[in-house]
Amino acid sequence: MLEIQNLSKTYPNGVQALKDVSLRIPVGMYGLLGPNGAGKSTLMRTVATLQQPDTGTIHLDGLDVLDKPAELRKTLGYLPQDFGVYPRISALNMLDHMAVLKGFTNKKQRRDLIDGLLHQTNLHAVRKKALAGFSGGMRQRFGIAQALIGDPQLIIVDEPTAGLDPEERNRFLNLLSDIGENKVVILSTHIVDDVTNLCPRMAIIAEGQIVREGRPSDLINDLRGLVWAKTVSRQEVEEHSTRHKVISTKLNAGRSVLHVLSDTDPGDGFEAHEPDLEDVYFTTLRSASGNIAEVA
Amino acid sequence: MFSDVLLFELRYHLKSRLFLFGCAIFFLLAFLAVASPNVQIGALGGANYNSPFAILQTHVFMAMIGVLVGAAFLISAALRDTDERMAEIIYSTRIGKLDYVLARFIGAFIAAYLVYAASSFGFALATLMPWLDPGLIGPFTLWHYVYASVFIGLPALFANSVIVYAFAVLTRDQRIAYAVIIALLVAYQVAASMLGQMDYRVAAALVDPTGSAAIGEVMQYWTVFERNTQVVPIEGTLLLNRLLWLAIGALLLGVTVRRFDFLLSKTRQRKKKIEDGDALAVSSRPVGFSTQHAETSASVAWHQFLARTGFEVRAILRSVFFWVLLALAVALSLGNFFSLSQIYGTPVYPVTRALIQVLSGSVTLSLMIIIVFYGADLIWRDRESRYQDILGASAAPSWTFVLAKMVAALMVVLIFLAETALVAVLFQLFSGYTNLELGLYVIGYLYDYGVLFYLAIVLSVVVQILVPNKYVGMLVMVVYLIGLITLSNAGFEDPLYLYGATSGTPYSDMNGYDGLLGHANWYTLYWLCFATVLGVVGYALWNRGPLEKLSVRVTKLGANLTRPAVAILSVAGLGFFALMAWIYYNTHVVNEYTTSDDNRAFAANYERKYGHLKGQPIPRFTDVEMEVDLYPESNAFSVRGMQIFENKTGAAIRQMPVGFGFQTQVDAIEIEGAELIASDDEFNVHQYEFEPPLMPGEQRRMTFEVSRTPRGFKHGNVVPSLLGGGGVFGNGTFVNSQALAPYLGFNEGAILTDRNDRWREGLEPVRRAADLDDESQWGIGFRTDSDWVSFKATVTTSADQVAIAPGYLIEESTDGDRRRYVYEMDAPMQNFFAVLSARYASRIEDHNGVQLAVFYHPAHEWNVERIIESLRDSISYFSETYSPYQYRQMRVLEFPAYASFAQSFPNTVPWSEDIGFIADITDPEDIDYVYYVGAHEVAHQWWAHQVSAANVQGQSSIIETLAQYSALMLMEREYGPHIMRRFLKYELDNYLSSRGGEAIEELPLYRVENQGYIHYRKGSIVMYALKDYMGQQAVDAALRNFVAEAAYKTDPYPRSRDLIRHLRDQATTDEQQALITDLFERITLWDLKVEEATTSARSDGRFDVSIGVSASKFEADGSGAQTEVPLDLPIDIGIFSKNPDDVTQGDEHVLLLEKHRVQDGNLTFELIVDEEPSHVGIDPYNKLIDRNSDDNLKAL
Repeated sequence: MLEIQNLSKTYPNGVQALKDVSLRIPVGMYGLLGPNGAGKSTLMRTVATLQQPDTGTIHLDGLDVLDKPAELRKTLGYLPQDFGVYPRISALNMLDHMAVLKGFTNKKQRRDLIDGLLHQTNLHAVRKKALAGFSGGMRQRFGIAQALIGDPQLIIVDEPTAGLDPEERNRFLNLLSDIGENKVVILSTHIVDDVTNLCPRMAIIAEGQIVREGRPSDLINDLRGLVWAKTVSRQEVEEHSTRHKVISTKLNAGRSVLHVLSDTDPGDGFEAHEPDLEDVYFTTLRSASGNIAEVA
Repeated sequence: MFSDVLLFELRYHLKSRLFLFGCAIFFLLAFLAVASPNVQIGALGGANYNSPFAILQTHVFMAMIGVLVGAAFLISAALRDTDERMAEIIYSTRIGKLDYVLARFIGAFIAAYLVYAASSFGFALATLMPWLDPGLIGPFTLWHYVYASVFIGLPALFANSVIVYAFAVLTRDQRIAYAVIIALLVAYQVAASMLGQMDYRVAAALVDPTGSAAIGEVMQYWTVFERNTQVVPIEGTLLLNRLLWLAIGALLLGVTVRRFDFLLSKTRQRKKKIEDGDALAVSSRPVGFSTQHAETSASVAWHQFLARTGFEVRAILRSVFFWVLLALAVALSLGNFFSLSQIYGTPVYPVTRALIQVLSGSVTLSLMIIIVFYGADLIWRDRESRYQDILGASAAPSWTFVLAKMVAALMVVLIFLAETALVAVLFQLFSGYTNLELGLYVIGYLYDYGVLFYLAIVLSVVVQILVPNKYVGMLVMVVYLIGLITLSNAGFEDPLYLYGATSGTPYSDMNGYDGLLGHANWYTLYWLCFATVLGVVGYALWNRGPLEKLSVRVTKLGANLTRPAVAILSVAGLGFFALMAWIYYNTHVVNEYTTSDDNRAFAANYERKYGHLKGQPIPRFTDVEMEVDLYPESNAFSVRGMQIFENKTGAAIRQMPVGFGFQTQVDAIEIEGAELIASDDEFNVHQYEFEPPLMPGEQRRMTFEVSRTPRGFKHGNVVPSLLGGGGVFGNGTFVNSQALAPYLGFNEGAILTDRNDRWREGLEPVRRAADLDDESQWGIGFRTDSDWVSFKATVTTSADQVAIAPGYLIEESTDGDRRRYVYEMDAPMQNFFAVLSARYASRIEDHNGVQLAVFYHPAHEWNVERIIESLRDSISYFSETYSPYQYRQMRVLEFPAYASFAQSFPNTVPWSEDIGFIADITDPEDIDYVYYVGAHEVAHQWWAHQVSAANVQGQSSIIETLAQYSALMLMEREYGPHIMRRFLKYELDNYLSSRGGEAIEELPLYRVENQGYIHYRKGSIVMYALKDYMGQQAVDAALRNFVAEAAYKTDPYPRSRDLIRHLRDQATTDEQQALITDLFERITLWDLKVEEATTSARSDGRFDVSIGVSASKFEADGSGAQTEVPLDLPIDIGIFSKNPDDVTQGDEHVLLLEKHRVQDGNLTFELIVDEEPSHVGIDPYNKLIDRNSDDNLKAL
């Protein structure tokens, strides 16, 4: 169980990245959903001990993370949002090096460990190739391989699927789902489907604040009966949005599909829509930015 | 579009900070080069500060730096789009290749040139500064600046800029572009100097795009007058050079435009795509991640540290740039190894000491780049690779990261040094030299030389931790390195505040470090403590994860300082202050701290205070008796002396100032019939008053006790000047009369002579010598206080050493650990002696009753036999030719390489280990200068120790020129005229190129004022020409008569007029008389040239040769301005069947060599020879001084 309490962080340039964030993250996969710039990475890096918050506490199973960052790092696996690789070095050598940094000093033990990880992430065939030549998906798999070294109790994966093609993304999500269930895994993402597919619990973060938290199914249930959809031409969108609380506008075959929020049937050609997590996400964001009144 | 892109590019750079910064630097550098006596670019000699020569020199130098700074603009123009990931957007617009590649180049190049142009303004402004000697400022001439900037600077900048740009555009890698340009800048110089040495002068002049070689070729013999008034005409090789490099630049630019395409990084495209594994494999794999847990023992961190260190070091060793820098250093070193310490083109044995010296000079540039570049790379690499977050989240403690970076930095410097040392070792083995002295490589190179660089790279790493981006850090390090070099020149020379600086550690094969390395170690330890403090602070300020502002990191400083860190910090901090106190105590309290500025002021003060003593009548010494105790292990001596002096003036003398060397401590002085009336310890001058006055002809005696006991260690010259008083060393003591014995009156040798030094001290320029016809000086020889003296010395030293002084050994005994020698001279000698002591090996042999001896360092046996032969031949030949040898013994004594000279004392020649002893004269093609130096020094037993000379102009034309001539004649007898020609070419070249460096006035030989290039170099040529025209017999007869008349003569002492009188007595023709005038009494130059030559076979089997020559003769004034004078002289006309430059032996190739009368203008000679000729020449052997000696010979 990871407990985050009253975490705040303001950067020297005045941007307040985290505002009094509190979260209780149980064992298992936990989705942290939010748009770009919402503070996801700041929160992830703070939990990963790479940044210090201005105020607040973080505990992992009773360990005070901010007080003893070195202790946490012994049981931390971290895949940052944006990481590069050194030139002229192979996956095998880099993993071996990371294994030492994570405390594996026995060469033989290290070799077995890495061998397993390479198979697991399906990188064994290319282990001697330079990392610099890896595709995006291979690189992310390398990233998760290094994060998994040493059976960490807390795993943080920050936007791992951004920029991957659908097949790679699928493959990567499969890999994540294999990670043991008895650890805390935080998946930060701005892609709703990632959370839908993987996470039994989730939170939505916007402008540095946690705006929703709970089981995806519960959150979806909360919206049941409130979401209405209509397909209109693009010219009509503007006019509709003045009359309705639009939560999302999506293009479908050149026409716009509007989702609006309404306690009652808004008429005007709208039909009832079975809500999904995306509706939850957009509704939450709109309400967080004050565009529509808080619902439910 | 083209002009839009160009202007956009130009504006982009003009607004950049680099532009402003660059302009400021160039302005300032040029300004300081003129306005500050401590910043120097090139040597001015006596030329004006703003002479076209000085302007040109500065502009050429600035062009070289300009290339490096300009490279930043050009690389930015070439790579900005790809680096900033704008390429996709720009490449997909309608911009054409020409607009993109060419317009950007021009825009960036204009910016680079403008930066360069700032130096012209800095230079011009500096010449207006009121503190410059107005006598050395000529009128402002705009043309000189325009010429230097546009004709010389611009093409150099252009060609190199294109090269940088082309490499940047085509490789898309700025490091390669930078490496290429740095390597090229060095390569130009190396290639030019190598080609020059191999006599490919045109190639040498063309290979360097700065044109400096071509300009140097034209200006090499320029006199001060010419330097002040002329610009190098754009013609000949210089024109060719300019055109060539403009063409290369234009061509390369064309190629760049052509080869460029609007595609994203080509290198990445070429890289093979790595085949991914089976896409389905993952999903089908069962769950089963490893659940192994890491160890938590204490040794884990240690392992992590080692892994990090290895990782960092490997990353650097894998980078191409490191190997480029290494290759650069190796190329420079090898180039210098092959021309190791050459004198007259003769190499030396590759002793480790010499190779380390060469290495130290050759690798410094690369090391500096490593320090600046890899310090930055180590700290920023993780962030630039965007891997910092993963590392930060790993379990390794922070200290492993920071310490690993520092250790890796040290390792890189060490590896670099070790690899270059290996090259030196391989060079030794390749040369067949096996005394490798690997220990010396470790101590002298990896440690002693490396210390500064180890310390500097730690600083570099720490600086990079502190700064917000790496370019700021690199700039800070560049400023540090420049500061290190310039501050000590600017009077801020105390190593206590120059991070990384230590005291000097000169090394000699004979004497090792003699404790000096131990002194330097204190400094090293001191800076090591400081570096440790830096390291700990750097560690505490380093942060994991995203870089935080320094102000934020500072607030966490305390939290990061763990208990071990605090402990290390405290120990290092305490050590630093303790060592500071210890070093300060030694260099400021126990010893006096004097900078070179202090020394200058000291000399000026001495002159101000005691200048009035000059010319005051003083007695002269007649007898010198010394007891000298040498203590090699403590570098100390003590002396008890007894000297008798006599009033040789016509009047009573009432007062007598007695002086000793400034470093000599006076313990007691007793003077018969005299009272001490004033004592000045600062200048070591003690005034005595005679009671009763010293009457004419009266002798009295003085006794004294003096000593020198070095205590602790001192700042500044750690080894006393051997041409000054010398010093006592562990093995190889060389201490002379200036340190051991008193002088009377004013010490002329202690005053400032450099015109600029005097000007800075507000002193009038001083005459270098009294006028030749100043009768008041005719009665003074080498010393104002001595003529010829009797001499006896008792020297004691350590029991394992041999101590030697002038005179014959009459007693030798050992008492415990002390050994005692008594030397006595049985003939009068100059009051000029040295005492030497070392663990010598010796070779002694008898030659017709004269004992010949060489005392040498046992490891330097190579040329001992040759030196003996030189002594033997010299003594025989000079005895037969001039007069009998006055002593029964001649000794050569090796001394440590703290200086490179040999010096002739009565029957004693101390000779540096640096010249001759390690010369490799095994190749008979090489000039045997060992034999030559021996002959020169022995010749001084005649010219100096038999014939002295009056203390007026022309003194050294007797002492040095005649020693040169005597040695030349011995050389010619031994090796034949061929070697002489090569030898004299060195002398001619040296003479002609030294004229431009004349600080005051070039004088004719008979009025020479101790100007080496005249009395040695010109003297050799002049005497050889005279011998050629008068015959050796006549010259030798003149010298024989001169010795007969002048030997031991005192009042008046011989003068150059006496020498010339004897020469004229032997001259049989008006022509010879006129030649003596031209050679000795004027500065005469000839310009002889074969204009055309043809040959045709005759019906009788012989060959007609027609030689058209042009000839003229010039007389130069003291500044080098020439006027043509009529020429009418028989001059050698030669016809050869082979190029005489390629012939090493015999004269079969000489078909004809005879003198023909030559008048000025053009002449044609029709001659007949028996064989088919290949070369013809006028004065082919360069006997006459000719500024263009190469065109005397022409191939048919």
